[in-house]
Amino acid sequence: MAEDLADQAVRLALGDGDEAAVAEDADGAQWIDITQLARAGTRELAEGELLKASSLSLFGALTSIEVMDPRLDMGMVSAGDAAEIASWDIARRLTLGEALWVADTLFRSEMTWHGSASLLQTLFACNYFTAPDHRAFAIGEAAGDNAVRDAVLYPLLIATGRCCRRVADELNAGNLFTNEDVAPCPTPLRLFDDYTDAEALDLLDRADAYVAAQGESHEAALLRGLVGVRRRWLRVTACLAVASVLDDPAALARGLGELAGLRACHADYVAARRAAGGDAWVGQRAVRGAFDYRCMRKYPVTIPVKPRPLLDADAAHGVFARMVDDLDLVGDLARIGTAEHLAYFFLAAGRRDPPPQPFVRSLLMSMVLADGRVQLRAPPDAFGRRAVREMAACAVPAEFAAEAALNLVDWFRTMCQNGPRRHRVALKSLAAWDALQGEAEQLDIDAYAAAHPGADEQAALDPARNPFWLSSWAYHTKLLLLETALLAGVRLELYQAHELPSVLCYATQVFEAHLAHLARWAPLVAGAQAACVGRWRVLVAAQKDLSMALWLAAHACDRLQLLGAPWAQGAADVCGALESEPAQRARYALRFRALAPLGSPVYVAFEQWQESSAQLDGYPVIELFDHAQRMLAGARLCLESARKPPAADATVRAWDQMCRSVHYVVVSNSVALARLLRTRPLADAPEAAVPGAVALAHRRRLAAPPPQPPPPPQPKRDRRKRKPARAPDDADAARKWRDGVARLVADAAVRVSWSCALDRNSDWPVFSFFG
Amino acid sequence: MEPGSSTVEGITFTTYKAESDLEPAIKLIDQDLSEPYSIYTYRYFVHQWPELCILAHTESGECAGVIICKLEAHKRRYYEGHFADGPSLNRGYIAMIAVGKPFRKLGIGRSLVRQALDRMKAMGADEVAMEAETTNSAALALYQRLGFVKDKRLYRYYMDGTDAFRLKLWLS
Repeated sequence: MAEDLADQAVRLALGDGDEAAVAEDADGAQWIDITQLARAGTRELAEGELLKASSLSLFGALTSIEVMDPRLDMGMVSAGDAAEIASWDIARRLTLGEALWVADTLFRSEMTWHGSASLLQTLFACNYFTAPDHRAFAIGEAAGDNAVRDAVLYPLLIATGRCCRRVADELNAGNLFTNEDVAPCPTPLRLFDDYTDAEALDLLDRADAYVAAQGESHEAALLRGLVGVRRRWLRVTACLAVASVLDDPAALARGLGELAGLRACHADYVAARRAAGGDAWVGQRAVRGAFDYRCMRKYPVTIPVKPRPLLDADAAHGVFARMVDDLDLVGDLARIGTAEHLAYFFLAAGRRDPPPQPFVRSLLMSMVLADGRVQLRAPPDAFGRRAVREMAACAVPAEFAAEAALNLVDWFRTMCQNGPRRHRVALKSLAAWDALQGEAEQLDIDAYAAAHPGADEQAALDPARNPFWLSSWAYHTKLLLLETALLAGVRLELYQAHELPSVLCYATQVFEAHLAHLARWAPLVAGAQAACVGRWRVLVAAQKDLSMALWLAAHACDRLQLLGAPWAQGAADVCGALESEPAQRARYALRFRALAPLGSPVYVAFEQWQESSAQLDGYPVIELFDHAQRMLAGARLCLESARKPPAADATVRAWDQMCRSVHYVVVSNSVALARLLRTRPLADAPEAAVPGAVALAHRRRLAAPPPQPPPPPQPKRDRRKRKPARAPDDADAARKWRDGVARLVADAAVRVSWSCALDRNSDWPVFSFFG
Repeated sequence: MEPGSSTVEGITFTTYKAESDLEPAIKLIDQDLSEPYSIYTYRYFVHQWPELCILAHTESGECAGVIICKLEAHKRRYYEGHFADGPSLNRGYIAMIAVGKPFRKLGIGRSLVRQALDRMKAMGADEVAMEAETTNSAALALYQRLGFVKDKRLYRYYMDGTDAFRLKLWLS
């Protein structure tokens, strides 16, 4: 198409004759002057009239670059740029200070690249970095009189190129990211394949010796500092590369050993740079023309790239320091011995805030699955067998083990994604866990039948007789994934309308699992084991508080018409069955069936609940949530204080175990509730600050056409429980409420993840999935 | 609300008429938005949907605010039970909105959005979408008061690396 248009333009410009100017440039290309043609063409257009190709899309318009606009055209050379470019002289004899400035700016460019900026706009903007003959000068093949450039700057740049090459390789091997995380773009970095790491390290040693011989100065000290940082960083990236570890397992230990030295070396450099005068002092040594930020004219690309600013020095060194700290995770990973611990490790790593750098996450992923082996040791099916044996204490068929391993590794990969994508991927991977759980249930049934040849079929299906260990394990793992990934995704409001039905269904599973878990302990609480009456009472009280809090929260959510909120419109349309009254009733009936065995002082039957819900309408939703949160906090405090006595005998140990389980349920529900409340549609709902009747009347007024009908009569309520109505714009209460929620989340989220990881609750996987 | 009427004292709202309207609008938008847009982006919108480009002028003729939108058929997503060859919906999109610093807190932004929404509704829009920075709480509050809800989080949506929320308003 473009060729046709060009031909047409040529024909029009040339007209019937050949009068139009045709010029030939030095390369032999012919140029036709179409100025007159363009003027003639636009003369026909009125002001504001536009010719537009029908193929021009919004994306095309947004990514188009306006030629000669300095904000958009990375190739545009203004008068100032031209002067800067003209002043570039690769033969310029550099001082130590100037070499320091170039190396320091290149370091900032490197860290900006780590933050997903284009390679061409960062590292490749440095004219020294891309000089075609730096090898010859650096290794002394070509003689020159530019000693600082050849003996100091070039070795530093070559080592930088090698480091970036290593990082790009790991990013590609990890295969986790897209350009939103980092733009590895390894092809241009092949320029540095001419060097080996050993050669680059040797050059750095020579650079260090050269600078040391120049006497003591701030410039020399800082350059030596940079050389030291670069030397150690190159060793770390080389040793920790998965290919190196596969060749020589001892490389991992060497790389980890370098980390402490690198950290200290970098901290020293940052301190010395600051002491010397920081950015202002280094900036005084700038070399004109050394960085050509209009370099896009030299690297034509198919997709236009808009410029991004370089990180400042503080930010760049912050990024590097964090990356070095994050690399400790590789050491932690290498020390992990059990599959369960591995699962918790990735859980914790994925939930770090801020998340580990893409390079570190890629490295973790490669370390856990490289060369077809998990943790560089066992093949996946053996790992799957081990994982299930450790976490469910039973042997499994090979196919199941392989599938379980696949799911686990997929989970690790999910945890290594950036935060928002992690939650989205997690949602997709849950279907695989559902399938695995189904298979596990069948295996449990078959195992029971094989172990009890005389037993009838019903016995194998009865959770009281068949413990369902394997499917409990699959279910437990799935719930863990749900709680950590899915609920956080809800908090971040990541899910689109079409994803909400599955999100809501899975969230309901978590809720029901907690209640079922509680129900499982109820007979013990009421039984003869309750020798230590005082402690059991604490436990019962906490359970009652928990059930009350959950009930209040459920009622408040209902009042806010959570599923009818605008953000759930799509979901409601799709899962109409879920939203139908019978289905809703069935869901609540299920919840109350689970609450019933707890001896709750509140409403344990669905009919009673319906009746008492009307009473709760006298309270603003905001107060219900507040009360629910206070009850959860009270239950938590109560359990924590009661756990103080040491576990002396079997009864107390049993109590302690149950206490821990209930504690977990209380805390995780606190988090679930707090996360729910933090979603904006809830927080901003005008109904939140008014009693139910007022909200109902308000909704009716909105729905009814004018003239407005008289407000419905207030239903009779228990006056003892009635609170004065609040004005809808009670901003103070809303703010106070939201602040409380934020505090709760900050506090409880950490504790939940670590109570999982540290307690390693032996009893926790045993959820009663049959309700 | 009729075009040309004003809901803010001393401010007149007009519809885009000619290229000469674009220059002050671009100046205003360039001051406020972090993303640099080419002239082609502006022309893409204002020449196809001139009625959805509304400008706010002071009595002295100074451009105090601008909103630029579009409205076109959008393929329904599979979750709505339709596939590529199914019926489409009309989705409005608020591409750019800016109010000059001296004219903020006067309700000009809200008026611009309301007028644009009214026009899109009259033109048959089923829904309206837009993006806003996750950190721009004032803008998010404005749109949420107008009925928009967060539909999706867009990771590193803007060139400076910040996330965006896609906000949506269902009109039908």
